Parts: sequence; structure tokens; C-alpha cells
Amino acid sequence: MFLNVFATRLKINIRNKQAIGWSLLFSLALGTLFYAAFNSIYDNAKNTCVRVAVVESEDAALNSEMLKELEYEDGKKMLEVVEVQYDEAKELLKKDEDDKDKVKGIIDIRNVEDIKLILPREKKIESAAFISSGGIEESILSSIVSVFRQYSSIVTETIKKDPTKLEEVLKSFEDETNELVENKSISGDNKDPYVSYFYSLITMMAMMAAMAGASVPESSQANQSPVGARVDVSPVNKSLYDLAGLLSAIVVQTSITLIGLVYLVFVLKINFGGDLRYVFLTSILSTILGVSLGFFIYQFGRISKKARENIIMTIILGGGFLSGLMIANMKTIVEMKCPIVNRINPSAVISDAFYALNMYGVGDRYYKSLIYIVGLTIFCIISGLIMSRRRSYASL
Amino acid sequence: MSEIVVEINNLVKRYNELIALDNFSLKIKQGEVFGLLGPNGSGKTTTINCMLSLLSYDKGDIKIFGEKMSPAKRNLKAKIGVVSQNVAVFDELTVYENIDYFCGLYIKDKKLRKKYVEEAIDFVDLGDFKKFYPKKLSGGLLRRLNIACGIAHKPELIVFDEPTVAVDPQSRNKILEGIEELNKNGATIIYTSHYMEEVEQLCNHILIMDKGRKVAEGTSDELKRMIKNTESVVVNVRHLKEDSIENIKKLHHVYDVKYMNNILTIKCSGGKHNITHVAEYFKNTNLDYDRIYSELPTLNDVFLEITGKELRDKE
Repeated sequence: MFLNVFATRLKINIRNKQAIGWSLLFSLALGTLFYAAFNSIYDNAKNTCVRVAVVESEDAALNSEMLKELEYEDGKKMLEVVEVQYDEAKELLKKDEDDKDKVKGIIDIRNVEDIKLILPREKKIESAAFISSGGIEESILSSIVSVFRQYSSIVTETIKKDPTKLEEVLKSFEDETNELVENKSISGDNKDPYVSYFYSLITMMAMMAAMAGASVPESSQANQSPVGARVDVSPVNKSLYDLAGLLSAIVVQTSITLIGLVYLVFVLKINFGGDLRYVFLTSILSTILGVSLGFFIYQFGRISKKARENIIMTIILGGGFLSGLMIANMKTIVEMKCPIVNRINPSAVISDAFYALNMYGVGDRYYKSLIYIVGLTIFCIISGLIMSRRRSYASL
Repeated sequence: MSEIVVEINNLVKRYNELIALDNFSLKIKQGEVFGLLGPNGSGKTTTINCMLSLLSYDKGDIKIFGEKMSPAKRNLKAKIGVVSQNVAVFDELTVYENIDYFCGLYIKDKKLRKKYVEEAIDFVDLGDFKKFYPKKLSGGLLRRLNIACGIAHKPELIVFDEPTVAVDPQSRNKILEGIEELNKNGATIIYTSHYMEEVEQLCNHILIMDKGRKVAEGTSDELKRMIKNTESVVVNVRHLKEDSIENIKKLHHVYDVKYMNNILTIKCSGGKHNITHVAEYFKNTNLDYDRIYSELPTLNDVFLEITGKELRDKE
């Protein structure tokens, strides 16, 4: 029975051209759109050298040195660091665009725990995940500051825990090696500020797979559809039936995600940084979470089909919003105000895995994110299967 | 004595304040074609859904094949086939694949399933449409596919819930003939409808329900004998005066007369020559009429007389 249901459900999912078409279109079209939009900007970025003022306190020479490590990217000078006092830096920022002393921003590293990036409009950029409205130079600065913050925190941590390792750590920056304290690695130090858009795209693709997961209980529960009623009056083992349907949805949706990812990597040649195998692994696990989430939500029999659809869309879009897919520092705000949301919000968990992979490479934080993804998936599947067991409905 | 296949006792189903089934009971014997007749909203489908354990209920008990029915009774479900009023098939599967899939939920053996599927296709006469997708089928053919999906596993008890709604007369006859054949092959049939002609033609035991309650039960003849009306004489006549109507009311065995839109309906209770008496009255009083004919009572008359309303809206 299981194999028969699985094979037939697979056939049904594959033949559902509308659903497959939209899912593929979403990933391929949006990927192409991002590529077209950012490719030329990215090329410009590679040829841009940004002059920046650095304000530091006397005992913070260490940070200044670290910042200089970031001046060059792939042999090209990306950053020209000018060490000045804060007031002088402000004057340099105010200068005319054609003045050779003009700086594009100020990096204030006087307080190691609160490194500030000050732009001409006195705007702070908190994250490198999204381009600021100020254009390519601001984006480069925000990207560099983001990496610099990571370096800085690692050094601070090293000083606190084992100062003897400091030299080793600094050398690792210089040599661009990947070994850092507590096994932290920066192998994924992809400073391309635009790749995060493609990670966001994969996250959204995974979350959209929830709609496919929702189709499983929709065709096995009497209160969802006439086909559901036909299945409900049959003597099948409901849990096995749903599991077979869920598996078929996972196979199809994972294939769609992989097609999208292959297109991004091999056709558009997007550099995801780090080890591609882990990008694929994260994408597959994220898609499985998306399908399982849809399966889980659709088990709530006491609410209407319309309400369930709305809940799924709210979780996809609202979750995306809270995880910072729409506003860069939203995830940080949520982390400060209500961290539990970032642990249970599937979009946040997925985007965090990609962020960890992108910024730190394969390491503790990445594995922790994967554990959250797998944990949420298991929760959704088991809870969904428990709820899907044979029952009578209050109304049909 | 025939075995009782379905037994429902004092079933109560409420939707908030609305009582959908009000201490409703029935017994269905093996081999019967049991008709559940009632207007829309009378509780027919609710009864069926409770019986199949799709709907929960507030009170009462339901036994099928002598066992208490519950959602987990897979052994009972294996013996039941359901043809719902909504077509329940996958648009992405062909006619053959749909029947095979739903039959596969009951029959594990592949060879046996293939045989059953072929037989079901022959039964509903869809042999030429095996590779068609449901969207390519007409309404009538779609209904036949719906039936095939419900009966392919050769169930002992088959529930047909208004299977002929929105079906053309030709397909309707085909469906009714098919149901008769299934019954001849040994299946017990439960047939719900608000089409009294179908129920009268098909069912050997009829239960009429309204507002979640049993109104009357018996064979078609038994039900008709329950009411006062034994014959209606209908006369197409123009400009009939009030005093003539009053005089007709005084004729033997006449108990009710209605005159609307130039149609005079005379309801009689008992008597063998009522149409002759009425014709004679018109002849003796020199009243001209276009047509006169006699109608025997229908199940609608039964329903009308018991509840005071029509079984279904005039179409």
C-alpha cells in the first residue's frame, strides 16, 4: 500500500503542472532577476576602492591593524584606511565628492563591542545582508564592517579566554587561514554582499514548499476535500498513507529546489562561497522543513481551509519578515526582544544556517542551525502524523 | 430473517443550536435497496456521514454488520463502498489510474486489483475512456467514474449519496441500471436522493425524513397507503366558477379541490370510478374542458400530506 500510494502521489505531484511551474518559475525567474540586477553592480564593486576614516582609541591599535587586513580582497585594494580623530573624520566625511581627501564613511572602533559605521547621512548600517540605499560603496563598507565585527569579537574573546593564542589568531587573519579559536572557521568568509539575496531566495523557495506539504492532508481528510472523504472511509492506515504522501511531496519539492540551485550555481555562476556541498545539504533540509511545516499546519481540522491557507501564507511571509529577509536588522531586533521566535521561526532557522555557512563556514554555529532545522522538521512530521490519525469530524 | 447490515439507534447530531439529526433510527437488512428520501437539508447526508464515522455525533449508536462503527474500524470499512454526491477523483490521474488507486486502498493483491479495476470499468462502460483525464470527461461520464472508484473493490454495502445530481437523463438511467445490477450481485444498497421517482423505481424499502427525523418508512405501496389520497383527478378547464368548485367538492370520495392556472386538481380518497364521476359532472353541467386524467399518489404526495410541504422545489 505504502509504495502504491507513494508512487501514485509522486505521479500526481509531477503532473500538477501549475504547482511545479510556479515553484520553478519562482526560483528561476527570481534568481535570474537578482543576477541581472546585481551582476553589473557586483562587477563595479570589484573595481571600487573605498576611502574610509577609522576612529580608534589609543589602546585599540589592535583593531586598526585588523581592519587593515581587510584592505585587500583577491589581490585588489577594496579599502583605503585613514586613521584620524573623530572630529577630523567628520570633516573628511563632509567634504565635496571631488575632493581627494573625502571619505565615504567613518568606522568608529573606539568601543570594540559597539563598532559603528557612520555614513554621510549619519546612517548606521547594522548588517551586510542587504544593500543600503546609498549604493555600492556603502554596501562594500557595510560588508567589510560586518566581517570586521566578527574578527573583532573573535580577538576580544581570545584575549578574555587565552591571550597566548592572540598572536596565532592574528596570524591566521594575515594568512587568511581558517583556524580560529574554539574551532571557529572563516572558510565561508564570502564578502560578496549580494550572495545573501540568493540565500534569501533559497530560504523563500524552501518555505514555499509548505504549499506542497499542505496538499498531503488536503487529500486524506474528509473535512478537506471529497477525495479526502474517499480516503477517510477506506481501510488504509492513515499514518502510513500520509507518510507516503509526505515523502512524495518532499521528493518533488527537493528536486525543484535542486534544479533552482543548480541553475544558480552552474548557469548563473553565483559564488555561494564555502563548500557547495553544504549549500546543497542546507537547501535540501530546508525544503524538507518547508514541506513538513505545510503538512503540520494543515492538520488543524477545526479551522477552515481558508484560515489554514492564510496561516501558511502568514508563516511564510511573516516568518520571512521576522527573519530579516525583508528588513536587514529585523532578525537582530527579534533576537534582542524575543529570541525564542528566532529558534522556532522556520525562515529564521534556515536563514541563520545560510548566514552561518556564509560568514563562518562549516562549524559549530552552522551545525547548530542544522540541528534546529532537523528538530523542527521532526516536530512537524511527528505532530502532523499524530493529528492525522483516524478521527471523526465535527462538521464537513 | 435477513441479517441486519446497518442499525442506527436514536442518533442525535447537533451543529451548535441546529439539530441536524433528532433521535433518528433505522435498520437496513441485507440485500435491500434502502432509499433515504428527503428534501435538501433534511439530514440524509449527515446520517450517511455519521454512519461512515466521518462525522462525530452527540448521542446514539451505530452498528454495521453487527459491530459498533468507529473511525478505526478498518475491517468494517473494507466492506463498504461509498459513492458521494461530490465527484472525488484526482484530476492528474487517468480514468484507469484513478480507479486503480482507490481500489488499491482496499485490495493489496495486484493481479486481483487489476481484474477488479477492469470489471469496474466495464460495469460503468468507460472502456473507451481509460486513458482520459477527468477534465476531458462529460458530467455523466465523470459521475460514472466516481461510481467506479467507489465500487471497484466489490463492497458488500454500498452507499450512494445523491449520485445523479446534475446528470443528464441518459446517464441517470445508466447509473440506476448499474445500481440494480450491483444489488442483484448481492450488495446491500443505501440510496439517498431527493428525486422521488428514482427512489420509487429503485428502492424496495424507503425511509422518508425531514428536519432530522423519520417521517415515514416502508415500501412504496405501504407509504402510499398511509395517506388519505388514493387518486388525483386533474382537469384542464378554463373560467371555472366558484359555485362549480363547491359542487365538485360535494362529489363522492372527493376531499380536496384546488383550482389554479386553469388546472383543477381533485383529490379523492377511496372509490374506483372517480374520473368517471368527475367527467359526468362536467357533462351534466355543460362545462367544457380540454383534458381530464387521473394520477395515482406519489411519494411526494406522501411527503406533502405528512409534512405539509413539497419534497423538492418545483423544477
